[in-house]
Amino acid sequence: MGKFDLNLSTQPFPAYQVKTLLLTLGLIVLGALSAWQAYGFIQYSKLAGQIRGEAQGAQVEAEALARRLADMELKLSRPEAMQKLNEIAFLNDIIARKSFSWTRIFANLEKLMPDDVHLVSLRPNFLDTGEVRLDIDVRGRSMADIKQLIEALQSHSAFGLVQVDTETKKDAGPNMASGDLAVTLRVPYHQERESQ
Amino acid sequence: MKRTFRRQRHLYIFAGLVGAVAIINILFFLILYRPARSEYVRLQESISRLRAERLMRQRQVEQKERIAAQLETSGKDRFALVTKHFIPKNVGYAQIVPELDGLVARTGVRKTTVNFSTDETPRYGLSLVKSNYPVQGNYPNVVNFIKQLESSETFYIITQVDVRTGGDNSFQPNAGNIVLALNLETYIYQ
Repeated sequence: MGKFDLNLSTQPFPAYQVKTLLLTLGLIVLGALSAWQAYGFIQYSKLAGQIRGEAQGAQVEAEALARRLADMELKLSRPEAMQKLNEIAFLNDIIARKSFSWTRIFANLEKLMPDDVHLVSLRPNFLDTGEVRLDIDVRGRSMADIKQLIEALQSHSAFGLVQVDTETKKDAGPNMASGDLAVTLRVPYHQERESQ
Repeated sequence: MKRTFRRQRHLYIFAGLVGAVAIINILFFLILYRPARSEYVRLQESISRLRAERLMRQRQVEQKERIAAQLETSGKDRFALVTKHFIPKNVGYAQIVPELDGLVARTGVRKTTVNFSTDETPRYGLSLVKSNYPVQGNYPNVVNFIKQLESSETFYIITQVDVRTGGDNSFQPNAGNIVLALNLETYIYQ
């Protein structure tokens, strides 16, 4: 006997099809998410296992080096070692000052000094940082001449940024006209760049 | 009382199943996935940090080892440096004055009044001798004198150069007569 798809109830069934479809879709998404999470968990666990040994090795090595460094520091901080180190620094400072090439500086100044600017004094200062700063006293007819010297120094690879320390207008004197400018310049000097 | 139909009951069971799977997913994420990923990231960061630390400490250890090695040979190096480049106390000025005079004569410059002073308290067994050395001559000769000082086996360190009046007061190769006052330093050892 054939079946009839006939709803004879007084209260008709609500439509379940859309809800079932949405729940099925949700289940599929959750299934995919579970698979992705499981895969990720296995992968991360495997990778962590692979590098755990490496991390422990690096930790052990870093600690061993730290102990070695502490031992060396202890050895070098003893009074007799400190005294020797200070003496070495003192002798190294003498060697650094001896290695300073005045003839090279003069060769540079010959080229860079404008005609109307005269050198009065030159002092190198050996700073604790290992840098050399030149204190240059010059005299010039006008600020334009001094400016020319500053620009020339700054354009040279061996000299750094020039700083004007003092500027004084002088009275007339030997080899000097009234109104000459006396200027003290401070300029970092990089001797090592000369040989490059 | 509201009646529950068979198909509706099935729907509730299905929804409950989906909900349970969702809760399991969240718990899996919180309990397993996230800690595993965090541990991996933490280990990676830890390895990078430790490698950087190792490299830095390695350099520091090498530097300290170099210094320690220098300390071991410092006595010998000091002796070689001092005896080769500084002046023995028993010789002192008997070497300084003629040596500088020899340079003056060789380079053809003229010197005027030279002032010497000796630091009475030696540092590390070295007494500092300072001098103010005025020289006069044409530009190439004066530069040659400075060159000779630089290449001298005895350490004569120029600390300052003053261009004095009385010469051409110019620092150019074509300058005629120039007068320079050189502040020199040398050391006498005990």
